[in-house]
Amino acid sequence: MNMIEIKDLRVDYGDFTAVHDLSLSIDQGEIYGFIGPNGAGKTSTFKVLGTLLEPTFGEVTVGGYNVAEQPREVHRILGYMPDFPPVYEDLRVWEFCDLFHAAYGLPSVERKGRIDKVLKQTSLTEKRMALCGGLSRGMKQRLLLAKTLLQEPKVLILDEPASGLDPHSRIELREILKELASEGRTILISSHILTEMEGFCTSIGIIEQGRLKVSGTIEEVIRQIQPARRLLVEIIAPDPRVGKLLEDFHGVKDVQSPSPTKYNFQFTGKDAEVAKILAHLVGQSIPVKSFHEDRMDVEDVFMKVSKGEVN
Amino acid sequence: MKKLSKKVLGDLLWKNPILRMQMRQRLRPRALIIWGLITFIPCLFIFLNVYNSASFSPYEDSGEARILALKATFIPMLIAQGIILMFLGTGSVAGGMAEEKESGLLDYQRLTPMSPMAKIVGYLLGLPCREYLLLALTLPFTLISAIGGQLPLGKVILLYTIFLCVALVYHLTAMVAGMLARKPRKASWFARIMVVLLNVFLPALSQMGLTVFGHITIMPTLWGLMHSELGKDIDEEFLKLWEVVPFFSWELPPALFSFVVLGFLMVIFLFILLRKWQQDSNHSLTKRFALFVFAVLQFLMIGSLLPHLSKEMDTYLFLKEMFPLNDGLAGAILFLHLVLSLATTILLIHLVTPLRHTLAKGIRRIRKLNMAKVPSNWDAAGSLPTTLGFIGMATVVHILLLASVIQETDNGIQAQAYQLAMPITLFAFMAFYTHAARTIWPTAGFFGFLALLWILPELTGLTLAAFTQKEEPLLYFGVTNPIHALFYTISISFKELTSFFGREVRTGVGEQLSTVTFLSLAFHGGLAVLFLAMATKWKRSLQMNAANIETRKK
Repeated sequence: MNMIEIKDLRVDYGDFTAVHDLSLSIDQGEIYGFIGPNGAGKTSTFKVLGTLLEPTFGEVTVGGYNVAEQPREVHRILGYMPDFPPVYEDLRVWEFCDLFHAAYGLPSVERKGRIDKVLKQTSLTEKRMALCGGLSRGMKQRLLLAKTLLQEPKVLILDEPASGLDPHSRIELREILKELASEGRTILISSHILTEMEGFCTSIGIIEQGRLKVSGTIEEVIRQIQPARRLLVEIIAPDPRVGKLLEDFHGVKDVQSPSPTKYNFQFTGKDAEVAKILAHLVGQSIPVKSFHEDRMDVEDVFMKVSKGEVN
Repeated sequence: MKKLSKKVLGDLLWKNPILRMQMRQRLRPRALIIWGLITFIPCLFIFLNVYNSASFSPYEDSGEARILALKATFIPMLIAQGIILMFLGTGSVAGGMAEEKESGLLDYQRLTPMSPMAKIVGYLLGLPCREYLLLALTLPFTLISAIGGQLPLGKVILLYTIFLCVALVYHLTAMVAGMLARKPRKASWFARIMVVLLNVFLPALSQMGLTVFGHITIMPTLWGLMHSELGKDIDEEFLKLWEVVPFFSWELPPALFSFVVLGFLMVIFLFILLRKWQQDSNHSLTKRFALFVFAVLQFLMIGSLLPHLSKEMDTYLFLKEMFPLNDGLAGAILFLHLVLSLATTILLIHLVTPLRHTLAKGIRRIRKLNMAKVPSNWDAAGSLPTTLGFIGMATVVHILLLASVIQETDNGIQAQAYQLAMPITLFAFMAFYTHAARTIWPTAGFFGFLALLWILPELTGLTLAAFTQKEEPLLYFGVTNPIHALFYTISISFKELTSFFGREVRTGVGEQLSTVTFLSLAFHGGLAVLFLAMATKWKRSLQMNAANIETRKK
């Protein structure tokens, strides 16, 4: 089931168009990473999903509810965490959670249990009685996450949730998100820390200047950008046969040798055929030291897209 | 039914999370004790001081001296309570709302599934909760004053009910300011300007016959209900203004009239807040609601003005002293109606006219939805039909006032029919070009244009008049100013008003007045035609642009 469905979304601010005809659908249980530079249109898209911004046009539904026509239904199933952590400075941590527990109309008998649970999840139990104004930026960020988790939303929209978090908290955040996804919750997340996105996102989309450049599972996106995989071979001692052996193999293209013991080449075949190449080289008594794929990561993909190498 | 109302009240009041949150934040014991002492000690000081001063009366040693002294403490305590609730409370609301908006906390609240009304009530009562508590601290003084001073408790309760309603209106004003302004400081200034407007400028209009505006404050109820009880030595003529409210042919109690006027203001502010809660980019008012507001204002205006024209009703009016003949009073009342109608029209046009990007958004949306034109209830719809509605309503009320003037004036009006039609025609011209200018320009451009057009030539005229010691420059440059222009077109039918012109002008008043009247009509009429044409052309080019975008996309 598609939990988030965006069709032809356009967002204008005066004469400036922040989002151009963006279409996207995200399945239940997915963790979708929304990647883009500052001003790309990520926050505008998130605000439309969160009913905070009226789109110029386009159909946007969350959990089957139209954000423009059924905002209160959307609010019940949506947890939204903005990219900066405003808190009520004069409230205590538990009072802050209590406010949103009541505001979401959650049963009062579950109040203590739920607040304790989210504070524990976000490692804020010890700060329960502290005033929000006295928390560090990272702690405020965690408190916001706790508040977002309180209502156990079906859809979570997290705008730069890891900014301001220390490495330990980032790992904790990743684990929390994975756990939430395993419970069937859909997560849409934006982050500048691209390597982290790769660790837990099931799909990604790259947005630039308001346009969605690529979207899909990480594998699909990499395939879109780099249709042929690049393999690297390193041998112990130079052997003039290697280049010829590789070129003779079906599907191998563009064999290059940056040094006498190193070769790289493009290959369009599947994993089983990759294994056959290695077996063939070894069978010909080539002293192979290493044989691996030069795999693009999310950062490479993003850099390629933002350099305009992908349309 | 009982259960339902209990649930609704619970959601709005005692179970309201926003109200509870604000109370937690603002009623922390340490701050509360400090504020309590800051409030209680000066109030005690004022109370005892006034009591002691008033005790030295000719009735010394009699029980009456103490009663009079306690009565004397009533008003000072009311003033202190006014400062707490209306000055400090209004500041808390405006500042609190703007801060939450700026920090993004308001967006959190937007995202909760609470009803918008519960959110509004939560902030309305929660932000000034400390001030309400401080008010409660001063109430024992009022009770001592009322009971010891033998004031009728029924009247005191009624007075305090109006007092709370006035405070709620001020707090709603501040909430609107906080929601509309982008920065807390701006909100605070906006709220202060609004409070000054509601407190000083508009009530001053009640002296001019628009009784309705006096009831935005507590003053009419205070004087109307309490003056006889407090035994104050106040001018009888002044008190006449507050004892009853002449409205059409009725004489209404001031408290009832205050409830109606304050209720109307509350409805307007609540409507704006609901719209802004739903979506920050919404216009403050819908076009239909703006028409409703204009209609109610016209109704309140005609109801307040008609009794002053009637020979059967004995009303007090400052204007009656200025114009001993009926002729001038009638003209002044017509003038007042048109000036206020114009001010309301400009404000409402400003609120409901879509700006360029809203219009473009609407055009793109209807193209997407395959609609022929923007529905009239959308914010993106043009405001020309609404402007026509304003003009229509103002015309009806103007004609009704004119009919009453013709019927009630002693010697009849020495004017031609076309002369009587001039003022409302001029009003229509001004409304048209105001609408067109607002369509073309955003806020700064729009108000800049009006200032340049209406104030700069007036200033030039004043300067030249000062140098030449003649009033002609002011008279002719005044053609561009709507107040002057409306005054000319009305003066031509009501000769008593011409006494306002200077001596030199008055010598040849007939000729000069005709000239400037026709000049006014020609100038503003020309502007109306020019600007309507410009707005039409501008809208067409906008539609073309939107169409081009669509074509490129396909």
